[in-house]
Amino acid sequence: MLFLIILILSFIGSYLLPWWVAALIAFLAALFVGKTSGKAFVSGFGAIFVLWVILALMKSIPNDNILASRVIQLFPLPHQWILLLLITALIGGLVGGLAALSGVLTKKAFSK
Amino acid sequence: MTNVDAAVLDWYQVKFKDNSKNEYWYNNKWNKITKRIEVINVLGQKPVYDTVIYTHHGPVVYDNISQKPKGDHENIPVGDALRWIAHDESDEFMTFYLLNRGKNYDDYRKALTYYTAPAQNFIFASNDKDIAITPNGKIPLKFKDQGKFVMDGSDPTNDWQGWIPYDQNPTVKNPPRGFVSSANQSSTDQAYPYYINWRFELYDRGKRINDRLKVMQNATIDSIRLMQMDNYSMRAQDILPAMLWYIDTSKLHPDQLKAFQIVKKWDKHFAANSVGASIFNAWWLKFNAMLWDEFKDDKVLLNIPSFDRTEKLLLTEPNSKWFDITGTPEKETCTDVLMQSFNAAINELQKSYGDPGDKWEWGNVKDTHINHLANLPGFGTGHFYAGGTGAVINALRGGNGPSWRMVVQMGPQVKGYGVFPGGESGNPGSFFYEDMFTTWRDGQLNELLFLQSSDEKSDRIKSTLTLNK
Repeated sequence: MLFLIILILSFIGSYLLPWWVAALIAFLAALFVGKTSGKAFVSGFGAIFVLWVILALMKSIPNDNILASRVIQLFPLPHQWILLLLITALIGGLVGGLAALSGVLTKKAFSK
Repeated sequence: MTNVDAAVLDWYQVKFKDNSKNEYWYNNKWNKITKRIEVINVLGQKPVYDTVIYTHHGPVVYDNISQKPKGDHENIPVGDALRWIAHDESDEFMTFYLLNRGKNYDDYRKALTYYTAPAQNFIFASNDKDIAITPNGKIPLKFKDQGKFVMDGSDPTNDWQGWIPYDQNPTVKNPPRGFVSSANQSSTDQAYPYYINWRFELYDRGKRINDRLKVMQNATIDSIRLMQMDNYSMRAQDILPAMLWYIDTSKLHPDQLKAFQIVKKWDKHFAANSVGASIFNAWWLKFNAMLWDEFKDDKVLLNIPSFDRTEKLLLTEPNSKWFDITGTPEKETCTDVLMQSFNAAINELQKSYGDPGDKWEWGNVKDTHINHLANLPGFGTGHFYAGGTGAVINALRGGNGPSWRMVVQMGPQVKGYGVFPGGESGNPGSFFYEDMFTTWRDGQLNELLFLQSSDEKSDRIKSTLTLNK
């Protein structure tokens, strides 16, 4: 449930606001419907990870991955653009996961 | 247009009256200095104020040694006045404005008189079947070798004495040989009365271009295009036989002998698949470095003599004292230096590329690449396999070379062909970022769009922008 809420709202939000909207949405969603810290983190991480993979591919595939293939060469990694996609999604996942975790923890702090 | 390399930048020693640096000695009397305060605004900080001292020559560069960045600009003297043509007011745009609207040879000559610097070889061809070339610019009147060294700034005879009149800049129109050319080599022969510079680009490329043009009959666009990719080395032609002659093959190991046989049979083309080119190049560089070991100095920056001088020494002065390697007790000869440099070159190639074979090909050994302006990995071409080298027509070195190749055919309708090794977009994510690279690398050209009137149609016009007053 939390996963889907974050995914859908962040998808819409990403067209209206800068990238950090993902953190805001994950935080607020977890604040209202989050249950345990563990589940909130996994939902937030998973939702933004998946979302950023989708958003990045929507830009990169029409570009034949030209830019991604160049940018990955700036990293000390094998020259595969898919790694850049994973790095991107991992950063997004951490942002979403930590924001959702913060949401649940904030709720717990105030409900006591 | 190509560079002339006229001597238009000179240094003068300045004698100040005292530490206030308000007066300097010139023409047997004290003269007033001009001081100009330069304000350099720095974002988020106080502006930097720099007081620049001017003699009548020009600005004094670095008031003292502490202003000079360490390990950089080593060839710039400290506390000397700089006379440089680029500080003079000039109107180069007028030249190009007039050339773009010129109809004939006379218009070309007129346009050139507005040009100051950097002096260029202006090449000309017209539908009236006129051809011409003019090494042109505002070139100072100087005595021979004036400004080759730092000069005494107090002596008026060391000043520039005016300018070579524009109509006496070197020029040729419709020469009997039927073509004009330049590869930045010396613009004139000894008969030219004025001094332009003591050094120019090496003669090699100019000679090869002239050799090829001389035998060209019914030349087409492709004849010139193929000539642009010519890799033949005049240097190898001039000195390789002499270099080989000095080698005592009985003293070579089997691998060295193999390399020797390869370079002996080499066709002297710096082609990408040539192993001989790699051997010759490595040998030449080692030879040059061993020969001029006297010029390696930790304290003073010394230019080694030019490649022509090296070639002349090898061919005509094999007993010269320069062949001695100063770090050894023995007295080395030309033979020793050639043997040792050959061994060193082969060892180096073997260490990097294994035993003589395909990996020794010039295209592998020469690290040809085109970098992004910020040297970002992945944003340039990376290493690519290509022929060419410094002193051949296809002057493609490691990281620089012929970035714009063009051929123009004059009549009946002007047609131009050209290409550069990149694309029309600077966006690294664009499909047009480097789409012309392979065309350029392979020595092909694209036809250039040259519309004859504003209403001419072409399927290459993607969009039209109309400007209204």
